[in-house]
Amino acid sequence: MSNVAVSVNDVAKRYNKHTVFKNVSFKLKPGETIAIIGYSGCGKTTLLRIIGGFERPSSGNIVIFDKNVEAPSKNAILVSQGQNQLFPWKTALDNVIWALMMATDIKYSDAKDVSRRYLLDLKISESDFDKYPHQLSGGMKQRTTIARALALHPQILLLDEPFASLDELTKQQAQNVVMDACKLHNVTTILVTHDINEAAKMATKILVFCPNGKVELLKNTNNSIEMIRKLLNV
Amino acid sequence: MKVFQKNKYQLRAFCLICVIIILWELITRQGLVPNYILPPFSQVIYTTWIELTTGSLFVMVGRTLLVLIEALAISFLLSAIIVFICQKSKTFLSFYNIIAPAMNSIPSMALLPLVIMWIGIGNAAIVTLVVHSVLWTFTIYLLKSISAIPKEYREFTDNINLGIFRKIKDVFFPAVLPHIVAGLKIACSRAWRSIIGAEIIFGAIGTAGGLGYFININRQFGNMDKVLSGVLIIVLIGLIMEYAIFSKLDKLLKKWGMKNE
Repeated sequence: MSNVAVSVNDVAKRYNKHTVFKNVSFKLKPGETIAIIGYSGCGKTTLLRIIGGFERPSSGNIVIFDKNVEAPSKNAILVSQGQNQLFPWKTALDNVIWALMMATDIKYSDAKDVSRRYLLDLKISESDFDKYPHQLSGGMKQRTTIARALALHPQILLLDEPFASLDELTKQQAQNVVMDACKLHNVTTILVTHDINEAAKMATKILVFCPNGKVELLKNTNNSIEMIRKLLNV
Repeated sequence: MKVFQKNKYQLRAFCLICVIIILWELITRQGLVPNYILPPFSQVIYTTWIELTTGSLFVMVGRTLLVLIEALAISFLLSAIIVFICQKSKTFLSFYNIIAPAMNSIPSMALLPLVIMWIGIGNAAIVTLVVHSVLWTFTIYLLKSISAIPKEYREFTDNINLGIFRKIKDVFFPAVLPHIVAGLKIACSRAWRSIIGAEIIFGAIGTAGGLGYFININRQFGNMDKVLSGVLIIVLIGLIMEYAIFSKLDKLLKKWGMKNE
């Protein structure tokens, strides 16, 4: 297997004459996490969607484990923001089982075992397995969505502000749980966030969309928070 | 005791209905209202029982229901075809968005002279009128429901490379179910009104008449108990549809959190 999980090569996105971003390049090794941070409307989510194959870049290309990204695939699972991602007609456990059975050739009994394991990894208790999404809290819904994504064994996990709607305490808890689960399953993660502390806490690399249109790639070190603040003029 | 407390409003409503029925019975039995205008409630119930067990009412109700099912099946099939074309062609969708509200505003009975001229007064005419009353409304609901499918569902199904059949069966259909149920309720009530109206106007087709014909022919002979029997059957069928089908679907949607209490 290649030593480079994701390679973003000189990607740019334009709508008519408006350039959203340009010259975005970075590489990630398997298991690494990168946080993409910047002001609203700078193109963070657009870049994430391009990496996932949901949108086409205006120029440049994305390579995931030596394969050019042309369309969405099981290799890179997107977890969008908001709490509307689980199917309301399925319980938490059934949401994961169904996705697993649809995406792979696994048998129901095996899918159930795998799904239970991932839900437990994401700190969803057994008593909540049979609850419908509307009966779960916001944090539990997000963790179930991420458990569903991880259960599919993606090479890349694309997280679009997954903790934005959570209160501070639940957010901290969810961040820790997701970090542990990603580490455990060696998943390369790309996280879009508004939160400088979240980026510094979760990522090994940080891509900053600066207000002047430049894009800076930082390695996460002790003084990352200060550097991000400086780049964002906060 | 707890059961009564829990359902106290339903219990009060039931008592109110009982009071109305008792008043109806007393007023008519005392001769305050002539029998040819309003027969006693007990007489209506007795006539309904006799007509259902020995008379032709049962067969007539069956005939009406068969026509209703035929018309609804045609309407749903046409709706599905229209929705499919609308999904494929934006020009057709724009055309449909103009034509559907216009057609939907025409009452079935207003088309009666045209239908008689074009189709005649057979069974096909009744089916045509019912299809007209259902098709536009139901298609509008279907189109709205498709545009209301959350983007996240579509993206996730694309993400796991789900086939189109599975997408429709496992994701899109349950996702649009609340809209379909709402559309079905309106479609069924409109169909029911149209079919009874059309049967009253067209009367018997050959020797076969439906529930509307039963009501109309008895009105002509002044058999008000039989007229009210027909009306009672309409009420009962409406209640059966509500409690046997729609309330169960509503319960399911509430369980999934897709419908408010």
